[in-house]
Amino acid sequence: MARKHNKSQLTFDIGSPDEVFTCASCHPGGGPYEYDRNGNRYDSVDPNKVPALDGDYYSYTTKETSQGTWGKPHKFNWKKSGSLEVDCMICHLDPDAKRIADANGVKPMAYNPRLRIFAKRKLGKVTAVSLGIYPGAGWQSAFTYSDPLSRSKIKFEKGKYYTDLDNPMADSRNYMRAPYVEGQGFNYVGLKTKREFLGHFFRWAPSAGLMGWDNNQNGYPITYVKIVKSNGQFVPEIYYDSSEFDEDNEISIPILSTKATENGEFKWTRVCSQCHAGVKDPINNSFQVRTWGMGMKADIVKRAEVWNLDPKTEKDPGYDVHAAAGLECTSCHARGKPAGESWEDYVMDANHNFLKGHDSGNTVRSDLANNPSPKNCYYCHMQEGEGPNPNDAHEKVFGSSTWVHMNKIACEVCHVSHVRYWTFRTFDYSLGFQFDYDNRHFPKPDGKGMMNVMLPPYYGPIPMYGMGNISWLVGHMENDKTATDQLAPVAYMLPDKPNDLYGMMYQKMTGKKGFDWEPVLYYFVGSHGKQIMIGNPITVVTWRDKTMGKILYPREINAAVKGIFQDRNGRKYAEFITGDRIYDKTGFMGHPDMKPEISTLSDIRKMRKALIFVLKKEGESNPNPQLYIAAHYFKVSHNVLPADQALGSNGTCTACHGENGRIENRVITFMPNSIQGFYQGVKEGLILIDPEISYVKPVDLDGDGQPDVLGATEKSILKTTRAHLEHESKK
Amino acid sequence: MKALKVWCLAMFAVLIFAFGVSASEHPKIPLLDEQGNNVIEMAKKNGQKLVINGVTYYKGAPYSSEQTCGACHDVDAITKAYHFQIGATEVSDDWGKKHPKYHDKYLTSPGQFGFW
Repeated sequence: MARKHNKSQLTFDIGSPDEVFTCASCHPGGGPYEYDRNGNRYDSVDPNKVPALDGDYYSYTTKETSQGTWGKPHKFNWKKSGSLEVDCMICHLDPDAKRIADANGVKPMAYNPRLRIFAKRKLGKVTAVSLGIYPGAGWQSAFTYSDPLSRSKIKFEKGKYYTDLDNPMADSRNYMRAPYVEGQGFNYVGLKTKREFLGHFFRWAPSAGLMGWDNNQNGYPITYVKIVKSNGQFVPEIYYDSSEFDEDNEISIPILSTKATENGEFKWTRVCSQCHAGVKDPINNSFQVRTWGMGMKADIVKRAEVWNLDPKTEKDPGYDVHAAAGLECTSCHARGKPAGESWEDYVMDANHNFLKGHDSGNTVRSDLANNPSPKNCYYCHMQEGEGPNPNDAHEKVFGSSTWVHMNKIACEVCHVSHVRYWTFRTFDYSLGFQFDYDNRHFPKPDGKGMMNVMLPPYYGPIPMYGMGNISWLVGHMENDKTATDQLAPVAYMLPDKPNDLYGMMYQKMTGKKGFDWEPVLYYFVGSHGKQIMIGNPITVVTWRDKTMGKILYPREINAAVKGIFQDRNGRKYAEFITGDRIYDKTGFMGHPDMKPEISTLSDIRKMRKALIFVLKKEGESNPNPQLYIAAHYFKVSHNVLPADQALGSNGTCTACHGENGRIENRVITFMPNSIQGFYQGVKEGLILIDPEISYVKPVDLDGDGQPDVLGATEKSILKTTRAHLEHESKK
Repeated sequence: MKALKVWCLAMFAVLIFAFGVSASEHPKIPLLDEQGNNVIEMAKKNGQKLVINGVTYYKGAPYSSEQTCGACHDVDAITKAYHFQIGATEVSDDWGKKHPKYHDKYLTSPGQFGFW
């Protein structure tokens, strides 16, 4: 994120406009998506009075960030895009009431439904786009490669409304933030396929969000959105179904009230899960985790959070004892009405700072952490709540060692013994982001040619957040033989869909069908003091310029890499702007993972050379890039399992202290490959490991004398995080 | 704003009394655009329409959730919360310099808006 004031492009990362068209797929608008850092609404400011390189008013184009660039950013046209206002309906439109039914009877979410995006083309170029409604013959999918109409096997009828629940790029609000079409525009690197962004229409996003709401149940949404080309520019158009409004031009809104913190239907759990977690939608029976195109909810990404509200067994992914007892997100996280204030008064300006715990990364308003506390284990079971007090039950099993453990270890450590959904462990940006948008450079699992179906991107196919096929590494695969978790590119996911090509690939690579993984133990501040917690150390591998003291920007890293290509022998390689190459050298169980990676000091030097070239073009006289590896722990505190699945529930100590237990001999993987010459690289400053994870080192897993991964023993993590916590508390 | 809020509460009470609207139901509202105009009223006046399978759509301005909900609710107060500000309340050009442990002098806040 660029500073407000910049003297040159050397300090210009992404600007505020980029933040909106990249990140607002989850964030509700308002705040910095509407107002600049001086408190002015973006679209009210005279662009002629904006200072050069103002971080709120300048940005790079999607093409520039995607393909990489150096040089100055451009003034963003906020007047045309509008500001992104807060959108109350994201959370407050009742998720079940007055949903539309599409031409096939499918009922998408009332707010921000995933729709078919139709495009009309003239001489191969898009001239108009229609959201949801099929205008008739001659209209095709906007997504030529990733989602052609033929994929759905539906006969489309003129004037009817169609959903597309599997396409994460087709939700109506978010499409307007970053509308794009495939088949024209600039190239996906490494493939002769193209995409083009039609503009950014933030002002129209809330109206488009209403396209799943059909108050009078006439089969048509309250709003209908088109984008048409006029005088060479794409322009959005909003239409309102007049029959939805009464004679006073007013409308009834099925509001999900702040008052209904528990409604018996998990409505709030489903509302929160739109952005935070996976959950099943009871109406269209789809799992809201973007099944076909992967699940990208914020807390799936960080810690595999899924709410299974209709589990068949207590071992199903997403099972939670509290949800099984009827508790919703708001049961614990709602702030509640202050005593003495009426509900009618309270809902007018209710404090929307939900109760939260302490985020280990300190990125979420640490001043609000446990201030006041949400209803956590300690509060409900040992302080004021109605949960059963666990003391006697624990003493009965653990005897004299009970309190040593209960004082030192957070409840979740034992009671969230397994997590049964996938999450990320590592984002490897060491070779940039730009080649990630198309999975078709992967082979088919049967080895007969390449993948021929392109997965739809998500979050908007924006640089850094599009289709992170091979840079994003999923860390859910526990290796039974070595007590080590393994990482694989997200491209090999979907094990729950064994007939899907990717599911087949996953099973071939891992030999596993499920996702069970064991959270990592570390010291942090828990609900009642310093304790051993559990979490997922999300790791970022990127580049830092030692001279300027900055993490390099995506556009700079992307500019250094031409792309990922394949040689005549089928070997994948990354080629740099300087002409150097590095090859894929690693994989699983004898299979190459098709992901070229930095695994030697020679690789580091080649990428460094390319980055130095780019940074000099940027105007820096003496750049000094180094590979930078950092990690933040994301706490795991939900999906609490029944007592008989807790660690130690069998009355023994082996779950943690046994030979392959949670502590003894356990290795946590931070990068799926090691770096030859690692210690020399650190010594020379070619590699910087964030001191907070100083325990990350090359680890030899199979005893052959060769390091296999960059990782850490659980014991070293506990020792270091404890020392770090004590050091911090002395400050 | 306070007078408007009192008016809204009064209208709410009238609805409950006169029509038996329960406290959990929201009164009918107009959708307003950024200028505070009723979008459907203006759209009908403009008269540009589209008929799709017998359903008449009028072309109008995008609705503004801030104007629509803000007519009664204090949107400014509500959006001070973290979910909306996502770091903007702590943003400053020298945040990174003051927090060297993150190894980037140019970070501007610890949150989504500034740290990314």
